[in-house]
Amino acid sequence: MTRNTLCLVALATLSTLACASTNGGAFGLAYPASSAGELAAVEARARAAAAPQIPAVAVVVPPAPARGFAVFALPTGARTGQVGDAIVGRPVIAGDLVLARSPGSIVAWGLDGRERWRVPDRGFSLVGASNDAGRVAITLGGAGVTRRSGALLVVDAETGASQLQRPEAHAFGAPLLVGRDLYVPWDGQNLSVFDAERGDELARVRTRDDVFGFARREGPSVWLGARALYRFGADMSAGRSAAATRVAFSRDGLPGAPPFMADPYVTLNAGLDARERVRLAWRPDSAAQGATFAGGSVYSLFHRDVFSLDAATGAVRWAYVHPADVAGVEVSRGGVTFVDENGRAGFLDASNGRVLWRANLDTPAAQVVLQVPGDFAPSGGADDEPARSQVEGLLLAAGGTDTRLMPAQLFAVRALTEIESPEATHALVTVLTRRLYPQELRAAAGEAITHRTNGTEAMLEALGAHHDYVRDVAAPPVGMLARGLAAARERRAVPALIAHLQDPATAASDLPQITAALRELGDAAAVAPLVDFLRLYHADSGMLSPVGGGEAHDDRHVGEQEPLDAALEQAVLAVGAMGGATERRVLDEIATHPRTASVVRDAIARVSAGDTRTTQASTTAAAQGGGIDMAFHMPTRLNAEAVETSFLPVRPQLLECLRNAPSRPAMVRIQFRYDSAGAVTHAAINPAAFQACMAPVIEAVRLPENSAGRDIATYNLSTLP
Amino acid sequence: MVAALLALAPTASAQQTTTHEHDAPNAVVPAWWDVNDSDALLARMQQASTGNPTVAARSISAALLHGVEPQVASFGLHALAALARPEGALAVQRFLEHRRPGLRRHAVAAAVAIGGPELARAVEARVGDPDPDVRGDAAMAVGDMGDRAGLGTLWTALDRELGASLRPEGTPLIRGCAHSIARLGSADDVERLLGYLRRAPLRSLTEAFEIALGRDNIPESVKQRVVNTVGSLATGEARDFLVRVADAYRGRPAPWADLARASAARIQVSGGGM
Repeated sequence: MTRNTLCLVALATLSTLACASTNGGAFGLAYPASSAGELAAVEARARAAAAPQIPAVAVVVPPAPARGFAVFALPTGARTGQVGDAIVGRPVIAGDLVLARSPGSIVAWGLDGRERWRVPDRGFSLVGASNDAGRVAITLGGAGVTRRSGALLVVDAETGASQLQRPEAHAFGAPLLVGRDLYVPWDGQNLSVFDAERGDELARVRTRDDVFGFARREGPSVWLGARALYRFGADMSAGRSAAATRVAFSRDGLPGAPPFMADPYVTLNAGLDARERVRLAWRPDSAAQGATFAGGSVYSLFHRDVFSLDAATGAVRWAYVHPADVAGVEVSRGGVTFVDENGRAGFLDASNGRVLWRANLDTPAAQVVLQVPGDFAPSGGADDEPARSQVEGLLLAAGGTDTRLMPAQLFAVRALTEIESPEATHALVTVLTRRLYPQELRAAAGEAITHRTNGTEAMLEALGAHHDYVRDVAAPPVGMLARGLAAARERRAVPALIAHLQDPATAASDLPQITAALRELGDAAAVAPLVDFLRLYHADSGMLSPVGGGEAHDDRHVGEQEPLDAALEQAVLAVGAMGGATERRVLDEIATHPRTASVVRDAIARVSAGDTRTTQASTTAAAQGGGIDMAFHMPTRLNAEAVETSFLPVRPQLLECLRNAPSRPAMVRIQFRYDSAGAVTHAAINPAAFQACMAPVIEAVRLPENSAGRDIATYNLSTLP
Repeated sequence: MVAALLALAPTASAQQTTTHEHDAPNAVVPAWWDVNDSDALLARMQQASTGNPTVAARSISAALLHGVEPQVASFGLHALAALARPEGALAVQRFLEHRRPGLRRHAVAAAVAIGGPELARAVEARVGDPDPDVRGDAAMAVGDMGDRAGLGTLWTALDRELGASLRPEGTPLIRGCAHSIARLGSADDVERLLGYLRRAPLRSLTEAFEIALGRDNIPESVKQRVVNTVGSLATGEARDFLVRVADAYRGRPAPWADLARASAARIQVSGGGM
């Protein structure tokens, strides 16, 4: 149906002012949205149109100062064309043409690198192009949807002869040609369908609650969107996303927080553009009913990491870590094709992330634009590629010392926490125990294992290690492991915890968590070592004479006394809960020593007073060597969830402290003390640059009441969006 | 004096001791020792040290395990070292794993004095201590305790330390390992130690070579290789070492000492002669 007519011009000189319209004409704001029937007719034509043959190619833009681009056929990897002209803005592949802006012109080259034609750029960047039925549609603009100025061109695909030139006071997205139907998204909210031969506007979809920025064809269907993916059809007539066939994707915490797609109204740079290195990749699936993504997956690319995500739930299906940064990706039903910055191409199996195909394009790449058909699934050249499990892939992604990849590493750790398997726990323990890994990462893994209820074998194994300078063995993160094992009620940990309690290489900061874990595990075997610990350290403050004589000095690190006191306090509570009359007498003796810390003395007083929160356990059971029920009315220690919940309201205030900071860490580690009333004190912030700003906010936080008496806890403030 | 010691010394009477179920069987703090009064406790320990060594070692050990201030603990360990009685081993062994490096060093010294295979094992474990001074003391102590089973640990530690530290003066661990290897090792070990001359600072090895040169069970040929290898360094430090060992054996029939003297004479050092 013809309602309005675009100005058709044969010559560029006739194309200017006369055609511009802002009201009832083409692109006119008064043009009404099409009915369901009108849209159904357009959709039917698209379904009936022959699908164009799409050659699989990679256009490789070299790093500066090299110019131009090279074209490679896939999957052979053969170089088919080389262009030396300088280009401005990311190239666009349209069937058998590569278009790019060269100063003053939009130039089309064949896949052999020969220039086919060029048209004036009118001062705009190339936004998008589509090639079908002997025509090429081009949209120009590229300065964003708010910059309402651009042009729409239709030219002969062979000669570049102009069939339509349309400068407009509108912003254009990426167009699509399907036979004679030309789909053009514009001004964010509109999609118009024109007759490319006659210039008539045939239909219009106007969204009331979303954004349209591109149109593309996949199989028999036309897809459009910007923040979500719509399948073009009659149900779009209402202009409401809820009524349309639509699929969106969202997952919190993705590395780099990529949008659903790069802003389609903005032209990306030629060469390295960070927006292409951190992005989501997906493809519509026309074979399925409704609106879905190919393979049910959305892929998150972060420099050299690729995460396959379940499109419905956001759960990580697999992770792949490439040895070099990935310069371009494209999705097909069977997986993901990529080319890295060294020109090495590969194809990842959609089902498990395994590399099925490799080829070497043998050229450095700053940017790679890929065009592959939906069923592209090459294989070969990757026989040596090992099959990795989901957990193994995530562990690889979590590892490494490249601080640039920290968001992806944290994401991988979080993904591991969502997998309820011993293998995942083992992976988390591995991250936790790798000293070379960044502290933030290890802290995240450490927090995660405190919630694990399976895979304690890995924790026990890690706990078996002790510091040994000679054999270059580091002390394991005993505190975190102790918390995790206590949470899992893993009594087999008791001997190892005792060994670490007695090991001078155990960090003082880990001691309270060890004694608390021994207390929570309630194993009578811990009573004697805890009494020994209390005896040895209850009076251990002050100076001593060095070996060989000399001035007496205090060789205890200033930061050690407080955690040691906290550990003693926990030990008192544990002995009070598990010990018998003999052990109570020891506590009474300890309470009388003038050097005994007040917190220890207070704890002994509470035990002596029969405080049910600390002495409810059965001493009979302890005497019999059996376990005891530590079912306190209040939590013995606050878990990470309770801490996080309490800190949630002040998170915006804490993040405000990072505003204008010269460097924004991915995570801020906050360690603090809390008492049984939930009062927070002694906040220590790392990085210390935020101490002054954050400490008052933190110390105003009120945690739940608990029976810990006094304990140390950590809150890891993620600064990621 | 005797009366005072008798008054201080514990008797066999069980009523006059304070025992705890969690104390080791021989850990008995005399009832008249006030463990909460550090000054008085120090005095008691001092006095006990002059009496029956067995009783004193047992009492001091018990007091240390009962829990005392660091100053008292350091004195107690010193006293146990002086007493050199196996009854003190329990406290020494426990204090080898005390959180204070200073007390661990005192415990190492006491362990050397007391001796015994159990303490030797415990001391060897401290060669891997997180504190560098404790490591050095422990490595030294392995040799002083005659613990030949610890040789493997010493070699591993020496290699590890040389890979980790390039301090010109060496480290306590290098000196300790070299010292003990020279005391415990075979002729092959001494020759192997020579191979470290260009990796470790000479001053961290000279004491070890002095020990090796003084051992009767090291062949003369090995000793002469030591002299030649050190002499080949041709530094003032090497010359000083050769002069020192040669002087120490002056007048005794030791061909290697003559060789050392001759080697030292050949070393030209800027700024003057010997």
